[in-house]
Amino acid sequence: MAMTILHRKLGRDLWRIRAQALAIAAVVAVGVMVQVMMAGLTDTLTITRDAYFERHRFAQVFEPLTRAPNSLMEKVSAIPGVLTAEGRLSGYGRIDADGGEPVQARILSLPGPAGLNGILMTAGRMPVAGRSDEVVLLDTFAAARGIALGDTLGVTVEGRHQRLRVVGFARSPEFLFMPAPGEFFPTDGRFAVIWMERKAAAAVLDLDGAFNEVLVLTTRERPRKAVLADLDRLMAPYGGGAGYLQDQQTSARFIDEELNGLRQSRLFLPPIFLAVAAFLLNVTITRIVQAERREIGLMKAFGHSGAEIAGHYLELALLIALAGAALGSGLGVMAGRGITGIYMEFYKFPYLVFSMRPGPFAGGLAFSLLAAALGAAIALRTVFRLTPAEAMRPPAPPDFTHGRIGFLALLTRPLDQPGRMILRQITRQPFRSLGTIAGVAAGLALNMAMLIIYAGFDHTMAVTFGFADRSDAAVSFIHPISRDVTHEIAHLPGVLEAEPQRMVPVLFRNGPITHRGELTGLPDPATLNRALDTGLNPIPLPANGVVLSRGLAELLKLHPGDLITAEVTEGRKRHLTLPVVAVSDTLLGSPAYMRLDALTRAIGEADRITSVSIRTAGPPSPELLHALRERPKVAGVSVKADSYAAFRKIADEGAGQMRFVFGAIAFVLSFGIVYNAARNAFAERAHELASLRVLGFTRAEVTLVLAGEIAVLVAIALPLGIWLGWWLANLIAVAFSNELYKVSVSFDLPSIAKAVLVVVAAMLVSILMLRRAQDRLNMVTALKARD
Amino acid sequence: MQPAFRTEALSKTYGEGPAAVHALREVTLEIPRGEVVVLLGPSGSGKSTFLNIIGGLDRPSSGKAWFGDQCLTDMSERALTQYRRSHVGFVFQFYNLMPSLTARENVELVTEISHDPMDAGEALRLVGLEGRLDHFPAQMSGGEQQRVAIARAIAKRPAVLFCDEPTGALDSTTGRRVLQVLNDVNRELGTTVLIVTHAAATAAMAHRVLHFTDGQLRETITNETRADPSEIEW
Repeated sequence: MAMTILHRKLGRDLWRIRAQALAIAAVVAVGVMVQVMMAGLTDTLTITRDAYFERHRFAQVFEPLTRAPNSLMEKVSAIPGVLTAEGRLSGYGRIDADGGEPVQARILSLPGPAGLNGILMTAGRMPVAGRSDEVVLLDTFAAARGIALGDTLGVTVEGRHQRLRVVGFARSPEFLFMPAPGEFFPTDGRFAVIWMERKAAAAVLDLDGAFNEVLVLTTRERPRKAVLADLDRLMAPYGGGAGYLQDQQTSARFIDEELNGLRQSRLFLPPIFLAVAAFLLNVTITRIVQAERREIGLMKAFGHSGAEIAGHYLELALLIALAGAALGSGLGVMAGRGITGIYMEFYKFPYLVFSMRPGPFAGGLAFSLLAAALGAAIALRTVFRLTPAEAMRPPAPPDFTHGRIGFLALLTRPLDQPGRMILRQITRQPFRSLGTIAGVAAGLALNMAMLIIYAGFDHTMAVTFGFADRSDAAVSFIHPISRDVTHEIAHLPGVLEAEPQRMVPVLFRNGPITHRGELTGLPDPATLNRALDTGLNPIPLPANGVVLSRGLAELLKLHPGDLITAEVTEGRKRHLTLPVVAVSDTLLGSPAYMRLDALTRAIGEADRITSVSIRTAGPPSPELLHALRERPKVAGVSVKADSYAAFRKIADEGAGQMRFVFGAIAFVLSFGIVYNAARNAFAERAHELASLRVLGFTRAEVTLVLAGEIAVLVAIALPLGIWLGWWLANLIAVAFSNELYKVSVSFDLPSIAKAVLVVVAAMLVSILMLRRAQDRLNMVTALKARD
Repeated sequence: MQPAFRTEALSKTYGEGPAAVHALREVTLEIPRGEVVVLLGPSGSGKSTFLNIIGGLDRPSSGKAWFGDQCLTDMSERALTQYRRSHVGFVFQFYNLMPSLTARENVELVTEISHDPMDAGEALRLVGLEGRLDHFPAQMSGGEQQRVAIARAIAKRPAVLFCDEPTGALDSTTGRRVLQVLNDVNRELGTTVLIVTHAAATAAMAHRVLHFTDGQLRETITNETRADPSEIEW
């Protein structure tokens, strides 16, 4: 289309309202940014995961067992629906690093000919056949511990010390997210994986001619659940029968959780911003159309059609939206790239290329243009209705007769005249005022909810590490061991208190709902690890029955008084039916607590424990760690300060950045709305404000009239926003809680204060900017103008 | 008696260089107290610029202006605001009422910030609007709105009333009614009334007529006999 005079006018109009246009474009940009970023991250994570899983033939069915002869694999392959199957060797060992605490290591046989759960070599080479001391090590562990190719590791497996030489580094889809046993969050230096040649692994794990885990890739012909059921049946006599599908595998499950969170945010965040942008455009275009009614009349008189003129103003709205969408797309890609880096670090992907399909860009663009068109369309009805003659007459003074009646009259009575002006102005256009209030409240709510969620991290840490778990370290054992070891450990140097625990892996079942988890046996009374109620008081463990963490109770839909089935997946594989006695307010993990004696009795292993929690004087000393290393049955020592640091790192890195991002987003939203409201009020009432100055009102008094209107709207928006934020925080808590982490929500005053502060800051900046415009306002010109 | 206003070589130039517009060129004059003074002249003759400067709405490029013994051209922004607040009232062509306030409230807007104001109802009675106290501007005719503006301007008992084209937007009957009110204010309250207009007929009601052309004061005419506003035709 050729550049018409109307286009030239469009350019000048845009320049005239540039600050407002920028503020609206910024709101659009944030909406599109979130959309593009979240879509990009979802794509990136999905595509990378799928490619990584497929390329390394990540198993779809896992069946751990005690021991089965290699010959049994033929029967596994014959199960209908099995595409490829492999029996592998899996166990645990302990790396005895000099000076530090012992670290638990997973020991695996290298992938066989079928290549299931393949590994990605990142450095070095595979072990040479026949060299039983050569191993491949998880590269992130090696990097964290400063282990180089060619180094020798001291490893204790099944009570025997081995010297193993690291010849290669690798990573695997199986260990994308892998916390050390007994810990909640992964720390690179706290958990190792050692891959060995099958023969060598068989030797150290005592599995000659046998395997103890089946990995399966399935065909599409049969549901995986059916394949798993057959496999469970086949393997039951060999200590199996508690297999699981890929979606229950730790790494796969956490990436699923992350994707879920991204999809949820994508659903509710961008629409808020686009709705606000539509509203802002509506108000602004309405204002401009009103101010330019004479020009509109003139253009109509010259023969322009209503549609042509409306199109002109529509273009203005669309241009603003377009600029916002373009800016948002760019920012979205940048933010996505930034977060991709964090993901790669956190999830140990070997590669993670931020990838975007054109869809989200097109969607973001289409939705912003649609929002702009909708916002403008309502305002532009006026353009069609206006006749040239009517348009060229000055508009009648706006009607404020509503201010004389009823409640409003009562409200305005005690006010001075400027006060009445403010109140009547607000109530004369209730929808516009409500829109402003709703928009500001939404910005506040969003920020407040996120701040509360992040404050919940701190609360979780305080509760978990301060009240629930009061130990300084936990010593875990490779196999269940006599409870007597507790007393031995209690007498080691620096140990003040020692408390035994028994973890039993089980499959919880309530009707059709199942969950793989653990029963945690604690002594009565427990002092170091405790189940707490909502008031942080310890819940006494019953002689019979189980105390469920809230997360687990909700997952299994169980309440106190119900019965729960727990199918033990190790040892004698007993099925226990237990009454649920109470629900504990556990925030990290989803344990199920029982009395230690009751638990060991129930599974038929009297007084055998799997770990001992200890309280020490100061941090665990090198002497203590040395003494623990000397005990071959010790699998690892988890130092609480390290778990705490791992959690803190996640909270500070990821959440810290997100706190900032949401603060900025809330500011953009609040500022966009408040500034536009103020700017429109100013433009419409420049006349009145100039009159006030002529009448002898000082600049400050005039600012007050203008700022008063904004301040009243913001003051109404604040409590509404706080209420909305509280509701949203609870909604997010429910949506984002998982079995690992229960999002805790409390009416956290500092968070609320920070969110309020952002809105107030946005208001003050708007008022300051208006004050500058007001100072430039020429009384004489403003009064001479007819409108 | 000291004059209400005195100016000395008052000039106002908008813009610079060849594009400069000389709105006012070295105007020197005195305006006595208690008179009705009409400033006449075509558009762009400088009469409104002159009014704006001595009304404290604008500043001259050069020259001086005094209100009594106070030098307006030396005043700070704050002092000018105080001057407008305490001593002068304004009436404009387009009324400039607050649409969100009733007639009474529009007047109270000023009485709330004045030292010794008259009652708002009293001011409205003076302009003949005692029956429209609680009407909003949207409910009044142009003439009524202009009379509210006059009531608002006189309620603070100003020494001077500035009127810039007060009848410009009104028909002749309503315009005469407004001029009558201005005349009454002058007679009953002793307020000096300055009326800027390009309707030459208005000059007949003035004590004194100042003719402006091209930014200069061309002629000052003192009326021996003044016409009553009701007799004015235009």
